[in-house]
Amino acid sequence: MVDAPHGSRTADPWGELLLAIARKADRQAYERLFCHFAPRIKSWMIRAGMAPDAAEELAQEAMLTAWRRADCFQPARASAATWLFTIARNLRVDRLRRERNGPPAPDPSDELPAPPSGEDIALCAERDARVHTALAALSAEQAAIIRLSFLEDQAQAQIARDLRLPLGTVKSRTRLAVKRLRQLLEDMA
Amino acid sequence: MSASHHPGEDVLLAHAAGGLDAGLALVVASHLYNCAGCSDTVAALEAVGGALLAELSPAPMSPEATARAMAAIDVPLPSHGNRNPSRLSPRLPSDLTLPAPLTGHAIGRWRWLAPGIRWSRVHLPDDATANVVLIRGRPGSLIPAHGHRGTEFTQVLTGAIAGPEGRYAAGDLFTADETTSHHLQVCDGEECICLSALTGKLAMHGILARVLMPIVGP
Repeated sequence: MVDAPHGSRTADPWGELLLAIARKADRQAYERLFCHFAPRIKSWMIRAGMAPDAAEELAQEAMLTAWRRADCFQPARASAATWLFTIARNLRVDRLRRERNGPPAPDPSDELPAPPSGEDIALCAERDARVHTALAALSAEQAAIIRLSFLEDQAQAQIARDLRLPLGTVKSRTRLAVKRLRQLLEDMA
Repeated sequence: MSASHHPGEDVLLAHAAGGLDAGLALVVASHLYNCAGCSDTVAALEAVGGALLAELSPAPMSPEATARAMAAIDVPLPSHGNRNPSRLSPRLPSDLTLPAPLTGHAIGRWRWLAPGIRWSRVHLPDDATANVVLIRGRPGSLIPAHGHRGTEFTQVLTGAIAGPEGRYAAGDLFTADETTSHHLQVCDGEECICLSALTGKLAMHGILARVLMPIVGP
């Protein structure tokens, strides 16, 4: 992360920003987080087939959700990038359902976690580094299956067409790719 | 409870990526609630999602995007009052704890499906198109043979049920698709309650199977 905030002692500086927002509603921290992640969330939504305006709207909504729920961020469980990924993913799922169904339902309530320790944050940053290493160790085809599933939200039927493979083959190769990824992560733990 | 039948890794990946149909996602969430192993896999896959998000090159934002974001956090959060209270059927067994993901979903009344078998619709507050049901059967009762034109995910909540490919007990999730045609029988001993989500239509075999019609429509 080239433009990571300065002066941070831990390896997940973005998590530090979320904690600062949770602790003292730190607006400066929020601005830095927004400037880094909102354009990436927008980029992801566009890749997943959303119009640029809608993609930007969703990025705004995701970051606002992060501001409001920063006290639910648990660095022991997920990095800032992972937590923001799940927020944006859920908003996208809600949005797709709303388009099919009409008005939205209230969000499920979140439980407040215990305050994190510095150790939690360091552990989580290590896990992120492992994820990068594990992804790089997958075969090109395995990496493609995982990336297409996440970034372009492609159903396996579509991935099968793209990779010119039978659907059953894609399913079994997906299972293998995920197993290998888990194995790599466990070996590094 | 320790399950012996789990969703495939392809299903967990689709779940982590947000790509599952709402009903199927609810059944998978109910499985994850009681399965530490599958939850760990999903958490690892979400970390992959986070890593991929962090690697993306940023899209250009509109010039006023940051100003809008900073203004938005000044707007106080509208108060929700009490959120959707859970509305459960009064006639569930008193010792049955429904998995937390089902909380807040209205559950309809029990209807007759076949001898010894009843079903009830689970209404998803945010997706009227999802087709999710609870099915309960007395020991020994039979769910008629049926094939599938879509996907069916079933999580066993209590008791056990046996099909041609094995025996599924509380905590197990089993799936069926176009390639599957099964009949299921509730195992001896205790009542079995399952949470089931279907996409597409069932293909019916035999006259008894007509009773499944109310669930999936003609």
